[in-house]
Amino acid sequence: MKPLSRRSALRAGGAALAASLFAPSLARGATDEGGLLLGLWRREMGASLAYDRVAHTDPLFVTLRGHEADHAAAIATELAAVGLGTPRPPKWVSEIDVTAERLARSDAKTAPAAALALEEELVTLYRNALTALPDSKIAMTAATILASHSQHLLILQRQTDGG
Amino acid sequence: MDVGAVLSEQLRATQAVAAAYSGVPGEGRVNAQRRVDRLEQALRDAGGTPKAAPSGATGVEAALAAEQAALRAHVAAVGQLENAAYRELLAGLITEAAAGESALLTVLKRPAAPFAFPGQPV
Repeated sequence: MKPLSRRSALRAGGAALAASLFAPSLARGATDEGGLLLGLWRREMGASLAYDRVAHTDPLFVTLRGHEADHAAAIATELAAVGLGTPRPPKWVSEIDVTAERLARSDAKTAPAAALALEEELVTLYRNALTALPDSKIAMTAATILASHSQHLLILQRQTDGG
Repeated sequence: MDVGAVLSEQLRATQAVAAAYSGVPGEGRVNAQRRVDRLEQALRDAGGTPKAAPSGATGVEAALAAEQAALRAHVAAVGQLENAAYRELLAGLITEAAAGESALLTVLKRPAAPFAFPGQPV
């Protein structure tokens, strides 16, 4: 059997997180809080890296890059609270999830739609995560991050609608 | 945990949002009233009785203050209610209150997402 490359392993991990959160009733029982937090941290780091790559196309992306980095830092604090360390941050676009990668590789014309798709996914992920986080403090942190992504989504929807 | 009391607080905060949107153009009031309807149903299902809406200031600034207060209440309630059905309800309320806050900030020509953690306790 061919061994998994680092990139394939990262992608597989991201896909597993997405599968568990998009279909929470199927996988919730198998998802522990630390694993869920690790997945969310990776998504936030991926989003921050992606916004960094397109930051020169729109000042909004500079703000969103900072927010995603702040979210990742808050999740890292919760990771420490459950006894887990923070993984090495991704350096390359090839290390992040597919949706964030699509944004990172976009240009000024396609970036708003790619950012919209990313924020839609993050809102869905956090909405589902809220039902799977038993610790009240961790859940409240996730709730404020959900609120933040909901605001990003509204801004991008209006921008892509031209309104 | 008194589920009825927590849901009643969410309802009171959201009723204040709906009332504050009076005279404000756009979909804000309709959206807030839908949230009120969902909370009234959840409260009834939990054995509680919805109370009459409070009265207060109206207009864009008042609606913004009410959305922000409701968002803080919903985030706090996430820490109080662990049941998945209530968390789902709260997730929807948080999504809509946060978006409502951003829309009103845009109307007021202020940054639409000024903080990375909206709804955080003050």
